[in-house]
Formats: sequence, C-alpha cells, structure tokens
Amino acid sequence: MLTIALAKGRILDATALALASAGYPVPNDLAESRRLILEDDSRDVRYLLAKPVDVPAYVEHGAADLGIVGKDVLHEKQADVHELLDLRFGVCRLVVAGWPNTDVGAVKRVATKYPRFTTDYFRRMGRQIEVIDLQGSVELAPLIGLADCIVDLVETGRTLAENGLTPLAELGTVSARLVANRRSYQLRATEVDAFVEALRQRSGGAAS
Amino acid sequence: MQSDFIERPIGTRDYAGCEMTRKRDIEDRLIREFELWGYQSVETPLFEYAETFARGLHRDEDERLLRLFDREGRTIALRPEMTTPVARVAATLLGSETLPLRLCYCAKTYNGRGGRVQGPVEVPKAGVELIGDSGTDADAEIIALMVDSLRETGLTEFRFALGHMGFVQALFSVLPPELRTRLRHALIAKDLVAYDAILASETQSAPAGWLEALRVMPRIRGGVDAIEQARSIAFVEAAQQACDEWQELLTALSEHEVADVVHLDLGLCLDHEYYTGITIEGYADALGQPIAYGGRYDALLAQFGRPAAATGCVVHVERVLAALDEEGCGVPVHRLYYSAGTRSVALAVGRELRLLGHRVAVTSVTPEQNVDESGLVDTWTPTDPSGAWAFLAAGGTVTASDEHFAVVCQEIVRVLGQESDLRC
Repeated sequence: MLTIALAKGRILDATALALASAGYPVPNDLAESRRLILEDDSRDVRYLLAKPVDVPAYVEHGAADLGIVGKDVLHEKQADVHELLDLRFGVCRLVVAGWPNTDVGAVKRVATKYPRFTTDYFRRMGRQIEVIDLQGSVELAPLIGLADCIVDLVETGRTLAENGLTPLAELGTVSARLVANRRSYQLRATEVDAFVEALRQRSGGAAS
Repeated sequence: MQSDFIERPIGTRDYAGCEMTRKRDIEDRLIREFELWGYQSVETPLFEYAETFARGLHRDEDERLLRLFDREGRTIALRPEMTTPVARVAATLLGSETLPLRLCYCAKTYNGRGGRVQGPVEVPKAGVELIGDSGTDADAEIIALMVDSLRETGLTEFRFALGHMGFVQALFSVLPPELRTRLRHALIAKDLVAYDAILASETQSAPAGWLEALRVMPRIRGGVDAIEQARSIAFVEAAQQACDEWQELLTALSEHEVADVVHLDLGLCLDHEYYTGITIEGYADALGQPIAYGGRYDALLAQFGRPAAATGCVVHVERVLAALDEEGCGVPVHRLYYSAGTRSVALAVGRELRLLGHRVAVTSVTPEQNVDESGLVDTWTPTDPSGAWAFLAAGGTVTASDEHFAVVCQEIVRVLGQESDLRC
C-alpha cells in the first residue's frame, strides 16, 4: 500500500482534481472532512491530510511514501526527498511587494513566510537584508512599519491591493510537486513509478 | 538563567540502558562480521588538521566542518567522515604494507548544523574500506560483506541501489563543464524537475538524441533489464565500460548469493566529490532514510601520496538501530548483596557467576536498603527448599574452597531469573 501525504489548504482542491483525473479519485468532502487519514482499498492507497509545511517531513521520514506539496514549501524546508514531477497546478507568483514607491534595491528589512527564497534572492542582488520570519498576514508588516517590504505568494493580488501594496519584483513562480521518500523510491519502485506515470500522463507529459 | 551545564549541545545525545545495550550489540556484530571477512580494525583521532579533510569533502560538508584551533593556531576539525582518515592511514602508517589492504572501523563522526541540516551532529558509523584493488570483484566483496553484516545485526528487509559515477560522467562528457555541474547538483539533490528544466533550456548543448538519453537516464532502475536500457543510451566507450562493470558486478553478486537484494539506479549520485566508479546506497524497509552508502574512490589515496584504487561502504549505526524492531536487550544484570561478614562469599559467588557468563553487580547492603531478610526480593522463588539458597538464607556461609560452594553457585544459576536480587 502506498501512503500519500496531501497538503491541505491552497492546493488541496486542485490536488483532488488531478488525482481523480489520474484514476485515483478521492472523496468529495476532502476539504470539509476532519478525518486525517483516508483509505482507498480498491487502489491500495492511503492519503494523509497534513499541513503543507509538514508534508516534506512526512515524506522525508518515510511516514508517507509520496507527497503532493507546493514548491514554495519544498524549497523552504529543503527536505531530503526525490522531487519527481511538476504537477503544473497551484501555480503562484512569488513576489517582492510593498508601498508603490519602494526601491527594492535599498530595502533593509523584509517580512516573509519564505526566509530561504528571500535571502537567496537578495543575496543574488548582492544585498544582505534582515529577514523577519512571519507565519501569516505578512501584508501587515509594511503597513505598520515592521518591514520595508514583503516577499509572498500572489495568486490574484487582491490582498495586496486592498492593503495599498503592489508587486515590485518577481522572484519566480511555484507550482505543486510530487515528491517521494528515498526508501520508497528504491524499495517500492514499481508502485511509485506507476503512480508517477498516472499523474504524468494527466499533467500532459509535463516536465517528466 | 538557563543552566547550560546540565544540557547537551544540540544534535548530540546520550545512550543508556536497553538502547545502549542494543547499540553496542549492533556495533559489535558489525565489527565482528567485518573482521570475519579479513578486515583489520583501525582507529584514528577524533580531530585532524582541517586540510586533511578538505581533500575528500563535498560542497556543504566543508561549511559544516566543526573547526577548532590547536595551541599553534592551526585549524583542526572534528572528523566529518572516516574514509579520508582511513585513506591517510593506509598511505602513511600502513604505507609499506602490501596492497590490497582491508580496513574497518566503528567511530563517531561529526557534522556541524548548517543550513537545512536538522539531523544529529554526532553520528556513529561503522564501515569498511578495501584499498588497492580496482576490480569489480572488490566492489562485489564490499556489497556482499555489507549484506552479511546487516543481516548479522538482525535486519532482514533491506536493499542496495547501485549507481556508477563513470556512467553519469560519460553521458555528461558531451556537455560544457558548467552545465555538467548544474546537472550533477540536480541529481545529488534528487530534483528531477530541476534536472529536466535544465535540459529543456539547453537544447543547443547536445544532439537531441543525447539530450533524450540524459532525460531518461536518472529514471532507469532495475536488474539486468536496467543494464540493457543503460547500454541503449551508452553513446561513448566509457559508458559501455560502466555497463560492463555493472554486468560483472551482478554476476559476482549472484555468486556471493546476494544478487536478490541489489538493483541498479542509474541516477544514483552521492554527495561526495571523491566517488569515481560504482556507488552504493542501502535502504531498510522499516526506515525512510538510507542506512548505508559508499562506492569506489580511486583518486583519493593519491592525495596522500600513495596512488591506489579503493572502494568502501559505511553503515549509519543509529539508523540500523531505528530500523530494527524494538526487542528486549536480552542480557539481565543480577545484583548480589552482602552485609557484614558475608562479603568474601558474595565476591566468590560473583566471580563464579561471571565465569559462567552472567552479569553480576556485587554491592553492600546499607542500613537504608530494605532487602528482605529471607535473602531474595520479589523474583526469588525457592524451587528447592533444601537447596543452596535456603542454606545461605538460613545464615550459612561458604568460601570458595568450601565443599558446598560449587553446589551453591549451581543452585543460584539454576534459579536466576530475568533480573535477580540475591543476598549472601
């Protein structure tokens, strides 16, 4: 049996759709359900519903054989897992945002949920900045003067706009990824490869 | 104020009790098996000059090296791995011994916490190095020895993946050096999405067929069929040679009768610059992280002035411990109490029991200790009332030269429980 960790929240609906079209339908009430483990005996798979930031840990330690999680989380956590497939959904832009007249090249304090992306980005610009590591509502930081700007994911840009902030620069885009545990990739290769292939065909042969 | 002195530095740990017994047992079994295969144990210092390690380090290991200064101000470092120190010993202390050398070790290694690394700083490892033999028979021996050693620890469900740095390098040989480095780093990170993206953006760097071969290469895993697939994309002589070596290795491994626990993984790329040929990584079904890794490093010994081909493998002791089922630690410790006047008996009984292989702690009864007057607490059930224990409990004394002594000891051994409290 394969155990697959799914990230709750932002990408869960798209994940359910992708799984269904790959021949692994999951229950409709996935998002509302309070159950943390769902079993599909007919396909011999089991799903764990986890907080996105925890998915890499579940997979790295082998509690799950596979995981579906955003590249944003994956890059921040730097888990020791196989990254097998770009699933091409849950696409978001990762941007520097702030007051419209902010000079990105001159900021000193940056608030973000993504300290690693942020540090890397400014380091490539030759800048060492102070990162303020926040867990949510990052937009608040520049509003009250806690930080000069923020680095955050943007889907529609509405939250930014409603708070008078604007995207200043783009770090890149992130999307959902299929990751595999190192033991499972080697010892359950047949099952893992079959699952990867089903999802790969569904995502139109993208990236793998 | 927080009292640091009572805590351990982060990333270190203490062992005691059952877990310690099991860890020691695993280490003993591994070393015993290594020695049964003709490998000699070596021990090297916990720290060496930082330059020594610099010859074998990989990218972030250098950043994570735990450095100190000696009294002359030279930089020394805690050993991050054992292959480099063992190579140094093979080239210096054992420099005049005939090759091949078979060496093994069981030692703690140290990796400072840098970047993402949340794992332990102090890592106990047990490993083997076969120095001075460039043939695939040497690689096969290392793998077969590893399989036997892991089985000796009680592990049953595990496998080894076999890669080949020569194959990867041969396929990369057509590409510009900068691109090779990027692709190799993507393989080390096991990031196939990044690997594909790099290939997709570099369509000018190689013929289309070659790029397609590079794309499928890291996804090929399996047995003899994987070698056939590898041959179909082995466009250069060096890659065909690697395929020949895989073939020879699998044949030798089936003669070692361990071919059923190995498979090929063409994309296996270990995070050490010094690997040059066949690489191996071991996984236990019960654990998410690899339990062993190693491979051929034919260029390392030359760094220490004694050019020689070499191959080896190292086991993560704590991960093997974690992969094994929680089982009791087996050997109980018995406590033998004495009070005024019975010490010589207790010491003699203790000696006798130890000779028979029992673990015995002999200790005096202090007034505070409430040891039952009948002599035995809880675990003692006198199966023979007329037996030796009754004799002792009734206040009888024996000496080592006494005619009763052997009977007393035999009787004690006969009724020893899982853990006994005995009183003389």
